[in-house]
Amino acid sequence: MFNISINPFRRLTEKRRQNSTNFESSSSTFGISKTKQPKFDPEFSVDGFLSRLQTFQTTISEISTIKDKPILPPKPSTLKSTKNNIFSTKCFIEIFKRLPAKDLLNLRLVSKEFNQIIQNHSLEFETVFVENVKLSETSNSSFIRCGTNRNLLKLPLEQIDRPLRHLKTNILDLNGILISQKVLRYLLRSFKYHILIINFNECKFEIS
Amino acid sequence: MQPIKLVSSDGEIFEVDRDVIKLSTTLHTMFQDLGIDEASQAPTDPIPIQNVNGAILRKVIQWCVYHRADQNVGDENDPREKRTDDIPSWDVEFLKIDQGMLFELILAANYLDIKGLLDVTCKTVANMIKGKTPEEIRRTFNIKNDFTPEEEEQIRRENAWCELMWKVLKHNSLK
Repeated sequence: MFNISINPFRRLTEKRRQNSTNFESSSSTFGISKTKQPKFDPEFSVDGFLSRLQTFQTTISEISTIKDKPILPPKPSTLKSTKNNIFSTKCFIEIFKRLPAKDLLNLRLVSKEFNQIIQNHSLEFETVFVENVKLSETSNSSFIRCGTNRNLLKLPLEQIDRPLRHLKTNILDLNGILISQKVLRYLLRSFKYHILIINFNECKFEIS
Repeated sequence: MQPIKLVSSDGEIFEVDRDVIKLSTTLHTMFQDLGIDEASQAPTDPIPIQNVNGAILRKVIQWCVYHRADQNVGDENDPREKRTDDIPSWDVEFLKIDQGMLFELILAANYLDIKGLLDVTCKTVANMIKGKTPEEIRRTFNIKNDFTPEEEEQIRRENAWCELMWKVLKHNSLK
């Protein structure tokens, strides 16, 4: 009944497939560059050579990582039917609804399925009410941080909506963030349902 | 008042009183839609409960019989009740069953829409999760960790971010 391990190796095998195609394509470019490069290439430049050398090195490291991975046999899916899966998802939602937010964070780390359920249905679960959320941008423009200077954590912009799903807020303060269409979309995605006020402090808007 | 016959997915027939059946919103609305009220003749054909097998249906009926006289306390508009330590002692004993059966009971309670049963079964499982580390949860429910170390690290970072946000809030609200 309690089948959670939805073919845990599916991702892995997919990844390996991707890797193997990468491997093929990269080795073929290497082959071409080898034949295409006569001793006195009129277009030969040191920069071009170095960049080619770099790509060659990365392909080598890719190859070695592929080799390092043990090859596991694909396992059959333990799920009997998708119908069953929908029911058990429903059942988990009911259980998770009765848990405090702290435990939901732990559950996200249990398995991919649990993580997905908690992220996708975050509106049905407990959130912590935060009066005022302050977000600011670090010099490296793609990171958003929170907290005081002494104790701060950085997260890439694309990821901030995930932890934000576990809290509820009315006021959002944005400090020194370059607001592009993309940023706005991410922010709205995280606050779609309960944000009342957004304060922009020293923010720049990018109009495309 | 004639009892109503229910038949489980594996063909076992149960006779259940009308006021017991009422606890199942699914069956209760079905009767209302069909215009079968307490005064009218009970349907002679047993009603198939397709998603529930005999062993589980027996448990469900047993629970409903015990709770048939309960007052409707579950107010939908209640601010979400987070307490999970308020399971009646009879239910605690009743739910000392193996995990597989407990989950089947949740599914059956969900399908038959029996609010009280769904609540106590889910709370029982919630209690198994509360305060445990991810590894302990995996061990309790026999779940495989299917994250890559990188994916796991990323969620850890997101969680740390989230908890810091909660802490900042607590600090601010104390001021």
